[in-house]
Amino acid sequence: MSTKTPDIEIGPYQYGWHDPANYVFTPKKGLNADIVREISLLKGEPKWMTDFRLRSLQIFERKPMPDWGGDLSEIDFQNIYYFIRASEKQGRDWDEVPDDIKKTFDRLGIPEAERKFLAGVSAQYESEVVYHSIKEDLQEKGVIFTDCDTALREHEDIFREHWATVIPPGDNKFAALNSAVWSGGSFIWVPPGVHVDIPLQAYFRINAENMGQFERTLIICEPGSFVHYVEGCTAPVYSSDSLHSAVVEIIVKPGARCRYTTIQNWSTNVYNLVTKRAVAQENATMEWVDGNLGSRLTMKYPAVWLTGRGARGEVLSVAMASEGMHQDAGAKMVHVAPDTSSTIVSKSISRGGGRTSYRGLVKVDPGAKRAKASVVCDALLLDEESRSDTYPYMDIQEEDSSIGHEATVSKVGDDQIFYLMSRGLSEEEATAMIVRGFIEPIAKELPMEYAVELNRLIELQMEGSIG
Amino acid sequence: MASAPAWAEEARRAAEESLATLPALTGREEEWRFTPPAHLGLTGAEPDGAGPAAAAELPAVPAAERAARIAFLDGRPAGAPAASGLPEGVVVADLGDALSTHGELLRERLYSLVGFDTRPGALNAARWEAGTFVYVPRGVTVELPVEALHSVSGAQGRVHGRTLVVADEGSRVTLVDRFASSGGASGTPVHVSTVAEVFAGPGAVVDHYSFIGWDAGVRHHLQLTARIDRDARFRSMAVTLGGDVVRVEPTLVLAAPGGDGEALGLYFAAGDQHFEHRVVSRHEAPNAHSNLLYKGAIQDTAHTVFYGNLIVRPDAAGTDAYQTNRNLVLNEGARADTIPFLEIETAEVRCSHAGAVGRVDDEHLFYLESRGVPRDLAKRLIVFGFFQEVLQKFALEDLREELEAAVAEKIR
Repeated sequence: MSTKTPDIEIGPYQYGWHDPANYVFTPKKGLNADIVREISLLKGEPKWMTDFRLRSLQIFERKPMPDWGGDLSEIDFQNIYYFIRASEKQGRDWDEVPDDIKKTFDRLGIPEAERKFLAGVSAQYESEVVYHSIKEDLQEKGVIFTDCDTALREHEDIFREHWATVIPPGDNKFAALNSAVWSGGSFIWVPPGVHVDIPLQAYFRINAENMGQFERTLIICEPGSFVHYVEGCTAPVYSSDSLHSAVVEIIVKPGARCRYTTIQNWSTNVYNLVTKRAVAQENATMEWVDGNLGSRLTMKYPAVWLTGRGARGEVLSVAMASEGMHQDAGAKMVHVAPDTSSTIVSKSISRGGGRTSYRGLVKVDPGAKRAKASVVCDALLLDEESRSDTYPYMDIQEEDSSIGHEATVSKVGDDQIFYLMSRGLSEEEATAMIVRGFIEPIAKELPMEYAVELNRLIELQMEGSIG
Repeated sequence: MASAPAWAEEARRAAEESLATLPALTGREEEWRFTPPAHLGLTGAEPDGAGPAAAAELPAVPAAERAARIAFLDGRPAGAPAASGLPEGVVVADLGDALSTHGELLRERLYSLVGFDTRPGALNAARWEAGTFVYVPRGVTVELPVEALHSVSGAQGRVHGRTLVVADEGSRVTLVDRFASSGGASGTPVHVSTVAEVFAGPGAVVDHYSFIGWDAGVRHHLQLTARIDRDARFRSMAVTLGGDVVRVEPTLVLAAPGGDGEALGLYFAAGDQHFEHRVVSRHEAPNAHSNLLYKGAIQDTAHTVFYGNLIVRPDAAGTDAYQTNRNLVLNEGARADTIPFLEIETAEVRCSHAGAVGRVDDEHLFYLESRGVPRDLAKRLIVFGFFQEVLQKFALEDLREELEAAVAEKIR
């Protein structure tokens, strides 16, 4: 186990600034039943939620730390703020959002995406949603797009019916932690048959030293509906480690389709330990598009439980690990019902001593007849110091199924570089071009601004990568 | 068995010490998730010291031509090795005897590939009494295979065996390890632990076959590690058909440039058999090649697990390594896990792996049936065709024919 100090050399990190934030409420660091009760009390939650949090805390305390994946030994749960509120009241429109917070968003380049076609903004700053607007046509369609705290107050029936049904607190240690101290995150309910044409977006940010962020997202797609939700993260650099442990639950009801896109670009001191899972019912489609470009350690395996006949699941994953990063990402597909199909495509790039790991599971339960699953993992290693691992698990308990997995690991070919350089490109440009081509199958699935942003981020990471 | 030399006694004590201090296996460890260690007799109290030698007879084996034959019953030598015309300098002996007769060859090698840092390793190191020792001097070719028969009678609850093969520079040898029950089924299960360490010296060519054909009631944990030196070639061919719970762990260590390792496997699990194959290729030196190819068929309520791992260490540039596992699930209720890992720590490599689980293709069945082939025969033909990719790589023709017959027997 590494015992090096958290004082990591991260180089010129592009998003490494932080604005002084005015915290209205800053409780003590650490975690115990009193803090959990206090969070619940401050939020004015019903008793069932307080009980849920306390029960989750017990589970968290009981569960051992995972001994697989990345190195979690330097996380100190008692050295983390579990709840911080940045401004007391929620902004109703952009004007009411505090200036310093707006400034932070500006520097993230959010308006680019927002001005164009942002329907509702549910941007999380610190632990709570500070800005939130819903375009009128969304309201007309009856779509609920709010934060989870508001949803619990205003739509308790729908909320309670679905809450923690996909990821119970006992699922894993970090899901239990999130269940105990969750705050903020998006809540989306799409009525039957409603097609949300434009992607709904939310931005997440951590902006206080040693601050954990435990948002909770719940998306419910009623039968025949469609929604595309986009979540992007960047975080400022701090000297000690930050923990980000979100839970995302999605219920895709019969015939509905949901796409969830994430681009994660945490700074290299953040532990990103996220549980994401969707249930796809009869003929429903769930698609995860998952990009992991930053963080010190990411452990994230978006999952789809295919519980209805004809359900489809898809994960497109791209990971890039540079110096000091370990991307332990992947996907899980559990085929419970017959005629279900799933696809996992994973592309990873390691450079500058970074490590990428694909870790995935395809499980076919007895009775899931004619299930089809395909897993393709490609890894690109840019130098001798970097590392790439592939850990696919396949557990097939049904004869009538067809499951395949393929993976390749390769280096950028010298002949490819030579060809491009003979056409006048520098070695750096040539490598960047090959990397862009490598991730193209995933980049083309992103909304345009995100594809541009992804390419830009990869170019930034590639700077000085020729050794 | 002559009294063992001091270094061997010392190693024995170290293994005992390790056994006493290593934590007990719980089955929750990542590498033990699929086969509970208790099912292999790796937990709980050990049976009291070895009982009386059984009067059982060795099972009959096909009378193919062999350079030497050696046999073990319940972990003890069953008669002296039978050798006919081994080239000069070649040794085929009981490993227990070799401790004193060939100590200089054993001392640096025994326990160096499979040590006692794990519980199963420590248990074997502390308890084994007999096994095969093969030594082939520099430049010598042993044309015919050496065959070792490992048998259990049911009289002993726990049986250990240990094999050491040393092939010096430029030599050639083939070892067949055959595992078969001696008949006379007993009520209590027999737990068998075997460890094999193979040293393929520079330019040597070593083939190893393990043919696991136990009757019901036997549980077997097999560990095999081969160290492949410069320009050496080693092939492990594992066939697992018999036994209740069987875990086979071949490991290839590509220790020097130019090495070529291959691990081939076939398994066919039926009834409620449980087979786990853990196949590892570890590249420690540059410019070596390895290929892992395992194919399995599963029927009834059997469960098979394939775990493969290609590990490419940081200084193993120029590695060329492949891994494939394919499974054919023959009926509802059968289960196959496939877990093909890659751990690559350097860039200058070509690696790929593939894992798949499928069923007998309806179109293939339909085609054969439309040609007048009855359905069950058609299914058998398809399984044979599926296994053929691996079987055709088996150099030993007599063994290949025997395996075909054994598979045919099982599929009926």
